[in-house]
Amino acid sequence: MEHMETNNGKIRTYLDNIFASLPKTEQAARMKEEMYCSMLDKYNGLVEAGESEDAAFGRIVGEFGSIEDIRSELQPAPVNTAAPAPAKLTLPASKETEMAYEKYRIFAAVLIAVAVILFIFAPLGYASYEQLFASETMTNFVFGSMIAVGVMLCVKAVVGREKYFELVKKPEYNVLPSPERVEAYRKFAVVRSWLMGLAVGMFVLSPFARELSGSDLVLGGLIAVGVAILIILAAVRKSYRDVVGEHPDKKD
Amino acid sequence: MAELSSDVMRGYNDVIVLSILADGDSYGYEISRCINERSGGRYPIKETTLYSTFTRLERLGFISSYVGSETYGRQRTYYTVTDTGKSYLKEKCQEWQLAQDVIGSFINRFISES
Repeated sequence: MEHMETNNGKIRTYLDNIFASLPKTEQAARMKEEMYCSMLDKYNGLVEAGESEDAAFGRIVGEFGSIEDIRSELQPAPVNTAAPAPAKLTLPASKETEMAYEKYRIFAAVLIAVAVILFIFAPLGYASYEQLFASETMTNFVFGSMIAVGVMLCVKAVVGREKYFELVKKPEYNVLPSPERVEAYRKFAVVRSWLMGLAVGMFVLSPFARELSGSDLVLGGLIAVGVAILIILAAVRKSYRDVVGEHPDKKD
Repeated sequence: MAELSSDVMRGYNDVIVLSILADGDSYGYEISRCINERSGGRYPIKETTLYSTFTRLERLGFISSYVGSETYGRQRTYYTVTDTGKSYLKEKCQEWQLAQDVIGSFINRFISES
């Protein structure tokens, strides 16, 4: 039948437009196909009964109804087809978890700080070691070991990180910080600003101290301690932020 | 000629479709035509209403679908009522009778015998 072909496109296009704003699921596609068949049958019926093609098309569109009826029955497109995504639970963090995480971070930070001190002192103290050991092999050995131990400490600090990070940052949970932690973060922020000032002071004073003492070690020592302080501060701050989120008063 | 709107018929589409399928399996266009005829043109059910009813009934397990005979080289989706669907239909009929009685007790006096 010829009229089947000429208006096939019109009905198809009409349905494509309607279904464009609906979720693209298999269910929706099936429904679109069935509605197409039904509308086409209706159209053919009308034309056979004597209506003009345009009038017939106008009628089936008029009797189509509201897209909201379909939308309410269609399931939304799934995010992953394997299993329904679990709703994000909001859990209060357990004190143990928070303490363990913070302890770990401080531990890691101390390791790194010590490593940095070793890295700085190794070359700086080279001259002193030479005097001390009076043997080149021994001096090189000491130098080498300091570097090596520093590297090992860094590795140790980083390797354990993942496990503790998991404790706090599970993607399926929104972990709520305990109020104690939030308070502690506030207090820490205050202490932190003082300590940062101290570290900067050390950096500034170090060249003067060197002049006064005439020793490179003093320079190196002050710088190393200043850097260590900054590293530890950063690590503790990160541990708070991971658990609490932004600083509670948004001052940071 | 007075026609019924979708709003009024909202709670009854399920029953209407189930009652038609109780007489035998059918497909979209057939069912829609049947509703129009049997209602004497007084309930021109919308396409979207009809198909959202099919989806709902199938999801609730009251009907199931299968692909049936070919017409013009196209395959139709046929619907058939399930046993659960039959019980649901029966329940709904009883509910309708009860509703008629109860509502009638209020408004029957306003209904003119014609």
